[in-house]
Amino acid sequence: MNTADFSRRSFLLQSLAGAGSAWLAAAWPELLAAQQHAQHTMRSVAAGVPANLEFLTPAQAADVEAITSLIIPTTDTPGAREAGVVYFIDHFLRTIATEQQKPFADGLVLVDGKRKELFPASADCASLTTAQQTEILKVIENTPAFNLFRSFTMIGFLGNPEDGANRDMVGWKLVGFDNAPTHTPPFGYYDAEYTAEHADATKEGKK
Amino acid sequence: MRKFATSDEVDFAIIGSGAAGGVLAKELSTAGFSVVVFEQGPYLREEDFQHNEFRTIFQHTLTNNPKRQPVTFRKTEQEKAKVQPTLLYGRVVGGGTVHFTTNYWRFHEIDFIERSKRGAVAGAALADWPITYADLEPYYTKVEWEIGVSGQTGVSPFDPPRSKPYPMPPLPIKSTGAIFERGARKMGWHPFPAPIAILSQNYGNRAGCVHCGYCEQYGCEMGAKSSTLATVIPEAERTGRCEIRAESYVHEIRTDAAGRATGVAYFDARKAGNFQKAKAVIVCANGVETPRLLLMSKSPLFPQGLANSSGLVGRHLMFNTYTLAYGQYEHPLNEYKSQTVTRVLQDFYELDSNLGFCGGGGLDMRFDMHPIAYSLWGLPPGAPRWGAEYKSEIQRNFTRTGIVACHGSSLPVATNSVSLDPEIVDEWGLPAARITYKDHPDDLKTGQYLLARAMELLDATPALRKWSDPVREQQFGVHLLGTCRMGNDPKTSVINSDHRAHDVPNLFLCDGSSLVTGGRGQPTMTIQALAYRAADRIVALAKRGELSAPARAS
Repeated sequence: MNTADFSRRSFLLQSLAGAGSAWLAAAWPELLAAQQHAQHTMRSVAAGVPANLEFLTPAQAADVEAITSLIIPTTDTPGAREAGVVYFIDHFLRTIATEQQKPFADGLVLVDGKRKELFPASADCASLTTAQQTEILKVIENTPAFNLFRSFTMIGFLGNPEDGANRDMVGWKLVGFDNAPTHTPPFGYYDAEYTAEHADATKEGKK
Repeated sequence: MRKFATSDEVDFAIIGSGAAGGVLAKELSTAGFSVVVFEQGPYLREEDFQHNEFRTIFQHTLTNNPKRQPVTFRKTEQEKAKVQPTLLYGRVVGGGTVHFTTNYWRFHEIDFIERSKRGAVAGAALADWPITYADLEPYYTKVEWEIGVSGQTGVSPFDPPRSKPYPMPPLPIKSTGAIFERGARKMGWHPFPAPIAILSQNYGNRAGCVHCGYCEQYGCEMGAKSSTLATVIPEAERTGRCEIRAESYVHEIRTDAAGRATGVAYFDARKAGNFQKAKAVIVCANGVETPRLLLMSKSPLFPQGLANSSGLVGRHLMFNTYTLAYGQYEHPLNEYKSQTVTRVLQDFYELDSNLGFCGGGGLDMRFDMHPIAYSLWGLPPGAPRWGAEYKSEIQRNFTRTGIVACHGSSLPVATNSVSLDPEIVDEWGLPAARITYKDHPDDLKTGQYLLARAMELLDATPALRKWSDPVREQQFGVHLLGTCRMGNDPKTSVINSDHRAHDVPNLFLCDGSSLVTGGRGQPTMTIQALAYRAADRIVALAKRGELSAPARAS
């Protein structure tokens, strides 16, 4: 079974920014709170109330929103912005991913440094065009910091809504994941085809 | 549930509540003996299992936590081991049977007599088992009917002999099974319905599978997955003679001046030290934790570790061989539904020695990734990793990807081992397990051979695209085998064919550490058959009054 390969990688995820240990092994109630927080904050934002950040500064949050929106952009379908990923990451860093706070903050400093190099006249990432932001990300896309941003983005985009990720299941809807508690066969195209063929063969056999 | 005082000298202390520990607890308590089962993990139940990828997999709710119990790794004895995640094992009541994949095909006759049939292999300590497939066959059957295994006989020409059919038909085919079957048949191979330790229909008082999709790596809230938690453990408790003592981490087996085990020292949930008296001890803690415990149980009579006069406790560690090939398809497979494997083939189980290496294995097809894992690790090399194209890729291919999994043999090598790390300790102050592992060259050749077949199979399917993980020396194991192996000669084995330690008459070992050869990739079925057989042997010894007698020469 490929659980070995798979589990090795999930351990590697935890040590992406060099922390080397299971920072993810915190009590899940905190994760639940992170996600409820994200839901609440998203509702506040929608209602025109300023976002309720717990760890990131507003400037950092703006950068995180820019970065995560480049990783999973809003296209003809919702992206990281609509999934509320920035609010998930904010609470996640404060509660469960505490060992990643410094690597994450360092990553934002790296991004801001590249911004100043490439666009010295700019004030911040959020004010750049998408093309300019993309240029910055391309420069850092092979760094551990970027891996951390990407992993957090995907956890926030595709995790469970009751954990505050994947708001309105936009992530699951995108990838075609139906989270119904049970399923019945046929499950997919090729087994449906197989089952139909075998049913026909049985009928023929009876002729 | 019956609770014993630590001063009660129970008949058996069983360490580990997984595939073997659960079975032994039920068999021995049913036979009238008093039993306490020690499980270092928590006692979770069906209602605790969640359909939550992040919490279950990334937060280790069912498995060992490398932060609390670090492991060190090195390739050879000449190197210094470094802390790195190296193992995954079940760490709950039910052990690995709570989260496992449930592939439950039997070993074949060759597995037990490979040394006689193939001869010696340079650089390996290949040996025959002290029992044959025929000795174990009735117990394989017992596992299928008591634990609950679904399958179909008469399809694979490579099936070993059997005395009874499966108790229930196979689970419904998935798209990976359909694709695999057609591709394999085009190649002239012999795919067959996978024997799976999941109920395909209601069985006894247990409900059948509802295809929820949270299967491999997750606990089953239906009890349809045939874990020891859902099957033999409740039966053991109902006898009124068995206590499951969870969050109890055994760190030493103590012995008396006569060299007999007297009981087990353990930390309870508050990390307080306790000692449970027992007339006999059975260790079923998995292929790493069992030798580790014996090595931690040194005494003046056992300076190399308990039951280790051979020096072989911890040696001959085998992980099995794994390689993966991926295919993307035009239409959705929707593999996230239902359980993992529906078709297997064993045409390569026993590879011809003319190929120049000793080994063999099988292929199956599956796709055991949920959305987060897929988005991070399931895309082909060279695929975009972020941006609109990445988003399109995951949008299209999460439901359109399948994986051919090649599983194969590992040779027993004396220098592949479990030992105690001289420096690193766990959260309880106990020495960390140190893993030394370097695949025998034949294991890498076996992996490459099987991977080449997997790529041929993918070519025979309508895959739009295919790729594979490179075959590499392993640094991570989920099958932990061979480390306290069975044998008739106390110089070349740790336990005899009754699972009794050669050195200690009232100490028994039964789990993945007992295996002499590692099989071709799915050991749990065989571990459980061994446990049922060990229970019969132990009960027979007890009834003859021989449990505490000094070990006799075989």
